[in-house]
Amino acid sequence: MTATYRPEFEAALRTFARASAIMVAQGFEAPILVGGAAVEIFTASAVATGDLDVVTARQERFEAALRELGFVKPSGPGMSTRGWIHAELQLSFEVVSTELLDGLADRDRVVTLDFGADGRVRIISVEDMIADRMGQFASGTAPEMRKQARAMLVLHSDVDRAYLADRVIEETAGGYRIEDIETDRV
Amino acid sequence: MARRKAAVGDIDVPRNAGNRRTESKRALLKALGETGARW
Repeated sequence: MTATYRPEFEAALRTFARASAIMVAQGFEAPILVGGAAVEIFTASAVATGDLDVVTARQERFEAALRELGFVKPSGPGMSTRGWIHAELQLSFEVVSTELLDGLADRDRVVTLDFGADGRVRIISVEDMIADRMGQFASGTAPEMRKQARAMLVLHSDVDRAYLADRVIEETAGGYRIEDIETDRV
Repeated sequence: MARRKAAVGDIDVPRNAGNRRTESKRALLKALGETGARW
């Protein structure tokens, strides 16, 4: 990798790569990164996060891999979370779903980043990530998501426009189109 | 992407406001914050 990302974020991705490699070595499909960490990837760390959301059908295997890497599940009074943290790395993971955007995202478009000896990480496609942000924006509960979608589109002029156009309509229940994002100011 | 970012200049990318966070996520971020994590 190059200096595209914050050093702390690259370290987080390398940790995810190692957890993924453990799963693959056991014969399971590697998990897929989604959410804010995917936005950080697709904006070259223009937005930062240390909390990584993951999609996998084998949650128990992924969490076993995290334990192997020193992660613990936070516990204590009033502490109820499905996530795992590593205090030294100041990093957390949470399995948020067994399906990629409720099965609407095209798994064949998943992106792979190679981290050499640490392994590889799989990430939801930028098109599906843009559509996801527009869907959250359209829900009325996350107005900031539209700017995230716009930033990713600006930085990825090579997107599959036809697929993205369909996905934006799908995620927003027809409320928005790709042209709405294209005409936004950066 | 780095070249494209440099060409575009400053891009306003807002952080997640957190309005859609689940209870699990709120608890996780609280625990993570207690490690001193800042980003």
